[in-house]
Amino acid sequence: MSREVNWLKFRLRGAKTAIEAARTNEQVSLLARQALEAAESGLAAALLRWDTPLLTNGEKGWREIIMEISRSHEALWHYITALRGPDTIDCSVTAKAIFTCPLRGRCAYALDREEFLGLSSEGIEEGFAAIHEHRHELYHYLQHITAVWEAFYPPLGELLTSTFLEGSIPGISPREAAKRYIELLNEWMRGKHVIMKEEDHEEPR
Amino acid sequence: MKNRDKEWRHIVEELLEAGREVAAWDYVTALRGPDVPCKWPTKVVFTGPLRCKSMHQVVANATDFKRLSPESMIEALRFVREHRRELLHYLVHVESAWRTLHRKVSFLLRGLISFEPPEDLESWAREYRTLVNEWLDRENAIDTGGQND
Repeated sequence: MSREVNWLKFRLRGAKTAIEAARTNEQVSLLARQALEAAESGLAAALLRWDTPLLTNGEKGWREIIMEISRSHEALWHYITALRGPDTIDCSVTAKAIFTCPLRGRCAYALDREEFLGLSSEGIEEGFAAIHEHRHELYHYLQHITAVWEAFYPPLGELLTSTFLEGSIPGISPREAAKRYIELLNEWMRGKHVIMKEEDHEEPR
Repeated sequence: MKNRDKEWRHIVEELLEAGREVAAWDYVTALRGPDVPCKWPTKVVFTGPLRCKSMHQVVANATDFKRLSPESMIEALRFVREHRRELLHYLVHVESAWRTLHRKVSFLLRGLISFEPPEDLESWAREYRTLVNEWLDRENAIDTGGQND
């Protein structure tokens, strides 16, 4: 923890103690006491959360993702417009499981990342080949999927763009692209920032 | 603030603050336009009002819906009637979003996506525009059944 963060935490604790002292003073009016109670409870919640380790991207739900990126308007827009599965009939189930479900994170009332995690590597490779064949019908949906990854994790966005929107990377088949997709997606899921930062990347072994 | 002056983010916040997480989900999953290639009016009619005041200038929004001519709206509805099967997934999401925002719009949409879509598209379009405008002019995003409008 940096010295600045430590100092801020110290100040928050000090503020909480001061508020607690003011709240318990008998001269404080009922209205002011209620306001102080609310402030004290907010500070207590903030201090409690502070020591909680950050969730990995794979552990987050769509709401947590939205909250985290709420200030990055463009990334937020790309994200929410990628949350619905594809409308096209061909390959829609496969594309949804491979591309939409991991982005949704944890979601109790719709198919979520568990759907993707239940797929075998072979299943994902076959899915990539099938989606590649139907890439023209899925074009609008794939544009939204690639846009969100370009914002969250550019190497993944570039892989999907070159595989599905620009044909294919010379020398890389859709099946090989699937293997790379799994690797990059796992990296993102292990990361702690939705919009990946340098510190999210693992140290080379 | 009227719904038409809000950004889609405000609607999501309102739904979440009211504890309507599933409704917020239904709403956000209806914000992308249809994946099936279709003319601009189709997207404007169904996606435009839900997006309210766009944060991004290039996308269809409630202002485009307001400016849409009756002829363009009929054109969009004819397209929907002809391509019901391909558009069904998209329209079901749109219909789900309206369940919490304005139930009457949701009921109307159910008729459009049913196996027997309305023949009189002009009447349907008039009623749809009236109901959607009713919601856009409200200050509550959530349908309160006539209370607090």
